[in-house]
Amino acid sequence: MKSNGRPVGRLLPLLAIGLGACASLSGPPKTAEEAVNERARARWEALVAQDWEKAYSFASPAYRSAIDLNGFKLRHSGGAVVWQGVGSVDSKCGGEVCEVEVDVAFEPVVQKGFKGLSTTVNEKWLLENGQWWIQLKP
Amino acid sequence: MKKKLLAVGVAATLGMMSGVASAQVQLDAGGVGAINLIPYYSVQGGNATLISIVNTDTLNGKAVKVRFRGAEWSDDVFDFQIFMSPADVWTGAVSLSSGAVKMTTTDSSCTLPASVNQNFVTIRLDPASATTGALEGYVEIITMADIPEDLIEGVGEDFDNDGVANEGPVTSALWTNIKHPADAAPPCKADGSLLAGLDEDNALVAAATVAQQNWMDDPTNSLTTSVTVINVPSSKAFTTNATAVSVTNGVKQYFRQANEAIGYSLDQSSDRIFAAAGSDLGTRGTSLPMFQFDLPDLSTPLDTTYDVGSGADATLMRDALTLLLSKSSAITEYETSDSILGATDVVLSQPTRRYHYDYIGTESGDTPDRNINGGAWDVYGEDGTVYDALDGASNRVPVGAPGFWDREENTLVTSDDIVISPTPPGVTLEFSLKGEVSVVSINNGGIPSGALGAQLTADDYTATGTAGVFANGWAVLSTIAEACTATNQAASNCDGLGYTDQYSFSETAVVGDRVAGGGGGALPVIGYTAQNVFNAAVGSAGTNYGLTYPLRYRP
Repeated sequence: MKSNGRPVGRLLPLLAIGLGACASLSGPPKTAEEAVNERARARWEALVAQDWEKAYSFASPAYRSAIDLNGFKLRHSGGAVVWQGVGSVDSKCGGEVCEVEVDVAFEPVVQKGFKGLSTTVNEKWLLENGQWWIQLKP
Repeated sequence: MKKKLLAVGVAATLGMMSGVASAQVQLDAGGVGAINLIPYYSVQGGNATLISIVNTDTLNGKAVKVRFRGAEWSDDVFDFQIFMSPADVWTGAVSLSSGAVKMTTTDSSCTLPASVNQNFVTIRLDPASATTGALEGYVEIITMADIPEDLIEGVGEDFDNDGVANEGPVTSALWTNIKHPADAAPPCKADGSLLAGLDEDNALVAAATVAQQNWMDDPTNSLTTSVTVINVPSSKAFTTNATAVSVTNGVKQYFRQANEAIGYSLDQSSDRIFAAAGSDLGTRGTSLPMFQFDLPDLSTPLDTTYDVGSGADATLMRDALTLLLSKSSAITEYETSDSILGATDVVLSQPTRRYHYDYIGTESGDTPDRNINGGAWDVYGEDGTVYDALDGASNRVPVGAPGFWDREENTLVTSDDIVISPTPPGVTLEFSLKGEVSVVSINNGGIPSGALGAQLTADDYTATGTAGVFANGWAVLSTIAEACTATNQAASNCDGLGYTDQYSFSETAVVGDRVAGGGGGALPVIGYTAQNVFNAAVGSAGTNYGLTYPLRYRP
């Protein structure tokens, strides 16, 4: 297919780049809820993938100053649950605090006969230095 | 003196039980029984709860009632029936979804309703706690009836009315319907019409049709249940067995799983929330409509000892269970060291507590203890029972002071060394058990509790000796409820309404006469200790350990 004699296919990447630039330059900024939802989902996707370094990077500076990456990994690995995926993420924010609900699909390691399970995990995220961080108990 | 006559008490129950050691409900030390009681379920704080029910009877199927009750007031938040085939296992999980508690199961056993994959039903909760009241609670599992392979009275009978008596065993249509063929779902899974059409079949309300009467037999002691509270974000789990209660001579108590109104009678249940509103004994209820699905409950006579045919009623089943489960104290070791992220919770669940409630309409202008059935009600513990001193406003029962020791004989000097949090506003009870599932957290400094993340009915006891907080050691938690004595009769929790013995009917010599007795005493408690520790030692692989210890206690 051609338009004005120029291949449309060659224009699409440029168009996409242009749209992306517009979005980043002049699009509406993310709401707190959108920003937190995105980070909460990314954190759980990292946990499901056992990408400990990435999952650790979402922890608050206070937590990371108290618990190193290995300590974080030890606290989350080798337990009773296999995390299988992330479902809906929803948050309610006020000021510098967001209450986040993440649906996590899981399967118990030991107990048999349990398939298709998921549950809502409640998290608190805090705004600090312009970024949202999950509050974890050290 | 406000109390005119105290009704049933521990002394009365002790007297009742003394002559009937061989015919009654019993605690089954082996964990197998007609009734299984799960002390605690939770979807709080990232928890989910996994339930596994095993029918150890390799010959008979079971018609099983499962009822989830909330931790605060034990309202029914979800109930259903399972039809288990011989040697069957049923599994189901409770979790949280968009703020609602939900059941998830992929089990192939048949249920009523046909699918139990649904959200809990919170219509029975106080409107104010509709979103939180089902997050924690306990579970009643009751064998309503056995389902034998052959018709109970098949031989010599003529059920098909062809004029010829059956000459041999006749296979029950119900048994065939619920029985798993090899590695396949039972027929009832594809066509649930037979189960949906089951009529009530019990001695209390009505017997079923002749044919159906021969499908179900009296319940026997075959169920065993395990439960795991599993925390998804921290990947830890607490597993325990349900408390098992056996019957000596079971009584078939099959009721329909249906929204079919049923008249309340003390013969069926001592849960007076269903009784008519009034001031007379036995009618101090809320007129909450009772339906078939509300029965059987834990007070419904499941043994001939307490069957209405013996001149008894549901109160005696309640009293027998209450006595069986009574304990004067729970003993626990605790570990709360920071170095291993130690946390210790003690679950003290009271599954017969609700059957001791009386409801009185709240006077105009007063704050009600509960809002039920569109009305405002104050809740009192039945006079003369162990729950006599219940404080309805806080749903707390006052108990004695706990004792704390470290590992080197050091102990607290006075109970003032124990900081309780949260301290409810306006509550003057120093030590108390809140709600039907009281979770006592140790040295956590507040709630949610440290191991289980309990919130609804949790209290924290932080014990501080002369050398500071005892990080580990052992404790005795009193489960003796205070009595309403002459000195505290005027207290709000001691209602002082007074009444004559509602159970004045003449009971059989087997059961024994009731006598007036004082309130208070050893509470009916089941539960366990949950400990969470983290292995952070150098060179370790690291793991969150969820440890459970069966409840240790003094009778």
